[in-house]
Amino acid sequence: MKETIVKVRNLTFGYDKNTILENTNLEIKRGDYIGLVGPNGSAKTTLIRLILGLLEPDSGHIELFSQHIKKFNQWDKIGYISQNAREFNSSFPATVEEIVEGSLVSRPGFLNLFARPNRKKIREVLRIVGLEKHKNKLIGNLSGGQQQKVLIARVLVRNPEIIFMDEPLVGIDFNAQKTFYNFMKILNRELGITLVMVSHDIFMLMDQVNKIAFIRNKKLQLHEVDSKLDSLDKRKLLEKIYGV
Amino acid sequence: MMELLSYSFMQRAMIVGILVSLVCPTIGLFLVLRRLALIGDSLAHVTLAGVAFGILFGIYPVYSAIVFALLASLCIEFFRKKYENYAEISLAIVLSGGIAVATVLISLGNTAGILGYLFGSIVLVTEHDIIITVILGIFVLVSILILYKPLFYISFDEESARIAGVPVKQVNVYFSILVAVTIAISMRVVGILLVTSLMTLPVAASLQIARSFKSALIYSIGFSVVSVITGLISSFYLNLAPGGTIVLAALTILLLAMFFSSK
Ligand SMILES: Nc1ncnc2c1ncn2[C@@H]1O[C@H](COP(=O)(O)OP(=O)(O)OP(=O)(O)O)[C@@H](O)[C@H]1O
Ligand SMILES: [Mg+2]
Repeated sequence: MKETIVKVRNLTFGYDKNTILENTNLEIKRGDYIGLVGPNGSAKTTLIRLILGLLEPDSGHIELFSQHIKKFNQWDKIGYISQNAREFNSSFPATVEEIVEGSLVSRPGFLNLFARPNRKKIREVLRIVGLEKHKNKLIGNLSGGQQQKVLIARVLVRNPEIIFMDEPLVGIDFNAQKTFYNFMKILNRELGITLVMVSHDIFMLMDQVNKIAFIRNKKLQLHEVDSKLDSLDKRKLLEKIYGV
Repeated sequence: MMELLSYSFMQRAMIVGILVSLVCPTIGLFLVLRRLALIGDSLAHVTLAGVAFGILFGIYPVYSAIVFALLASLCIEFFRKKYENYAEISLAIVLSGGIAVATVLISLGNTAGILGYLFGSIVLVTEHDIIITVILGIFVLVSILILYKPLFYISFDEESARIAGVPVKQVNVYFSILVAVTIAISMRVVGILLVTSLMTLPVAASLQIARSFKSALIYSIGFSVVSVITGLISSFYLNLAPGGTIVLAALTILLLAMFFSSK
């Protein structure tokens, strides 16, 4: 039995009086690769932000690594690439390496400045995402896909155990998408990192993930995806998910 | 040059000026990157009210300026929550309030000394100014060293900083205090009206040519120090208010940087 690292119980939330999530449940187990899908406005982003404690539920219970979210303090175990992560200031005057290094230290302290950053770790992460050659470039001088990789690198360098990605592939070309998915597979299968990815490309997702979470009618349904599905099985599963 | 430094008032102006030229662009870089450059301007205008208050009631103006600027940065935070998506509104409100209070205080009584604070002055820098500037200037520089990494994190992406456990709120409050203190110690030499320029122009010039964050910081400080020194020297020889000459020097550097930048 795999350990449950995210547990959501009877979660209800609305930005104003209109609830958009009602009595929702979700369990994420270690090693899962979950595709989170649903139409625009179905609260995918909202659900992730609730799990990350950026929004407060109206009622319900959220546990991260068996700790109540209010008491949770191991945030370095969690990585997040938000839906608008790539809207950062692209003329920010920092190199790829500086940006990645910058996410290593989070506490104010006089000694930070003299502490040796973990160069080996930074180099390794840049190699994983394939940006070693660009480490001294300004982030604004990279292509959109390369910038996305920097954002992933700065999450990876902190050794997260689970990463939430909210539509990380919008605006990324087909080949770069394929590379990205292969890379995610490596993170998931070889490095054992649990992944939750929001995407509208459900066909692509089904080839990658072991579970699909679908939000419909303010509730979330979790479906296992067998890796040996043929195309007919997939269509059946899709029909089941979308209820058509 | 040596002759210039034989005047003790000039020595005092140089000491204060150089310290200020180290502090302003360091604070300014983070302000600019967080698109908050105008906060400096709003706070400076409130500082004017603080100085007027100090002169009117016989309090050392730097102290009253700091208190006013701190209160103003609290107000900015407060209004910013009210108008979350219109950050400039909070700045406009505080700026107007500052000018209004300053105008009233100035017309209340004998505040002739205020001109020296508006445009800066080299002859008026006192021993007391030096002591206060050195103490507070070092306080700001050491604080920046402590906050450097978290500030970098927040400036690039405030939300992931928060998730990564950076105490964003506390860092922001601490940083506002630093901005307030920086303005208060800078106004003596640069002048209230031009403090923001020293926080932004050297940074703007450095952004034209910097190839990394470290180099942006180093260029900003370098440009600022050069501007202040040339500004003070020409202020002395041409008998002009130093605020103006310093900022003109910074502007010249900015134009040169734009001309030579490859961007
Ligand atoms: N800050 C907000 N204030 C008020 N309502 C909001 C806010 N953010 C989102 N909503 C509403 O909540 C609902 C869910 O939004 P959410 O962003 O979670 O959807 P999503 O599934 O991520 O959509 P998309 O596929 O477009 O990214 C939408 O109807 C949206 O209008
Ligand atoms: Mg979304």
